[in-house]
Amino acid sequence: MLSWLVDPWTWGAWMWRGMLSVTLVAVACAVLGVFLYLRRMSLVADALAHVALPGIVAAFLISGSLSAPVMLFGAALTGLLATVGIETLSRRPNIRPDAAIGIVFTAMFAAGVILLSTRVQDAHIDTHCLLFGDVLGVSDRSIWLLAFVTPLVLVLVAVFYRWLSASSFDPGFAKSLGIPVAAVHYGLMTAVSLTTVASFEAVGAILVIALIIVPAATAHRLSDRLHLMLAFAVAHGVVSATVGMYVAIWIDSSAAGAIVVTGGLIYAAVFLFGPRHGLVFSPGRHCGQGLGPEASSINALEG
Amino acid sequence: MSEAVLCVTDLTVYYGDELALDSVGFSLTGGKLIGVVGPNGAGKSTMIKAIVGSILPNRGKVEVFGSTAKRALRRITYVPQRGSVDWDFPVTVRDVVAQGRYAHLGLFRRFTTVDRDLVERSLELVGLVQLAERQIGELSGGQQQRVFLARALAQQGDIYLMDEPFAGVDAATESAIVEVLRSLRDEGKTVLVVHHDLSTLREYFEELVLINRKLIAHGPTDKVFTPDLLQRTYGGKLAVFSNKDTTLVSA
Repeated sequence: MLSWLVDPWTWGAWMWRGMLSVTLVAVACAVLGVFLYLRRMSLVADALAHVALPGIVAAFLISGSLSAPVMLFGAALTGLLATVGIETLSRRPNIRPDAAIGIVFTAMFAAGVILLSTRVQDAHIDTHCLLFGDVLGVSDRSIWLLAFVTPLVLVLVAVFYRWLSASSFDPGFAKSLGIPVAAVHYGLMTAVSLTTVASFEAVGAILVIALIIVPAATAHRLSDRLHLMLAFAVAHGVVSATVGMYVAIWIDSSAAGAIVVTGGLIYAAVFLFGPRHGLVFSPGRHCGQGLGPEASSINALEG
Repeated sequence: MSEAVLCVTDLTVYYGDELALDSVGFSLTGGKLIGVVGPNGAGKSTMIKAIVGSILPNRGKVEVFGSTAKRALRRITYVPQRGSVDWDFPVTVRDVVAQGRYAHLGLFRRFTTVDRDLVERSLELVGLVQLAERQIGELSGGQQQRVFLARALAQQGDIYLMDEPFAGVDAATESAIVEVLRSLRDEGKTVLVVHHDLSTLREYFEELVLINRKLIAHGPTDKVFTPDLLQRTYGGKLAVFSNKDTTLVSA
């Protein structure tokens, strides 16, 4: 009866490898995505995923190698460059921040496309794979990369949790405490760059953006506590990855596409029926807590 | 003269090419409630941010108890404007107040009983114990302002710099906040408050700092709260009606 669940695991190592890589991708993306979302920087993930391309190509041209460290280093470097570029532009009085993001990342991405089409035709850079991923044919290198990057991201977030949360909520106050807010920001951006590069082979440069944004957006509709939001985001990512993999296998579609569509459908369900701000019903606030905000303000004045 | 608690020298800030704060300097002693007064765009917030290290001044020096060391600067507690943060952020009232302890705990030290007691006591002082588990967006404006005050109290600094703590709060909250500020002053703390309501200046503050990009005047309220100096601070935007012993002003 459950053969449709179990069988794919017996068809070969690719199922295990695919599932392992998308899970690792989903976890790292979800955790970083929550902080990007809370900083209203979701679209910066889009930018960073795109500027990794010129980073990887440039690193290859300089070093002649496509080894994992070279790729990570190249992408981290162009990621930081793009972050600095976007901020420098945004700070000018007459430039809108959203336009700044669009200008910087498209220009850098286009430069990458030119380099790729003129200078490195002979290299083994598969543009299609880079953009759309190939979960079922994921390489050993990619799995090792993820096995390194995802735990690294989790450890860094755990270690710098106070700095991340305080500087995301109130950067001015965080600075007054001596928290290096700018360093935290660049650190987060670098982590996003590394994660997108590690995720390329599995889900591609375009759909990785969805795995960063959608889990966080879903989680915020489910909880108003940061640690729970992180847990819900990871759960959303892992569930979408798993369900998406099965869907892809049974309807023979692109795995990354199925994963992202599944994630989008979960978001839609939460949007409609979720406990916080759900459109159809929202029982939590009215029945569960008893007092609305108005009642509580009266309480406070009396207390 | 008692020892200077906070000494600001030649504080200058540019935003791009625009001069926001022009060589402001003053020195404050302990146990005082000090009002910062000036028109919109006078650089009041900029000055506070530069003093607490939230923005980097182009020039100038901030000394706390005679020291410019980073450690000393952390004895300054900053209460930002309420509008400067996203109140939809997924934290509870207690979480925000607990951030006041981060200055002492760094990244790794765990919250001890002492830290937790300070957080609870701060919540009590501002009357938010019952709302401690609420997400901060569920609070009214006045309650949110009290969350920021409680966070500052939990930090246990010696100098409090508050950016418009009375903006958009109701009368009950305003008097509750003033009560807390007075008790801080009575403990010997220095409390600097950006304030807009000229009608309560005399009642709240014993000292005033008048600024309009430059320092216009600094001194005891009796000496500085004069039609002449206010006129110079606000330029033509102020109507001053005065007779022998009262000064009525409206900005």
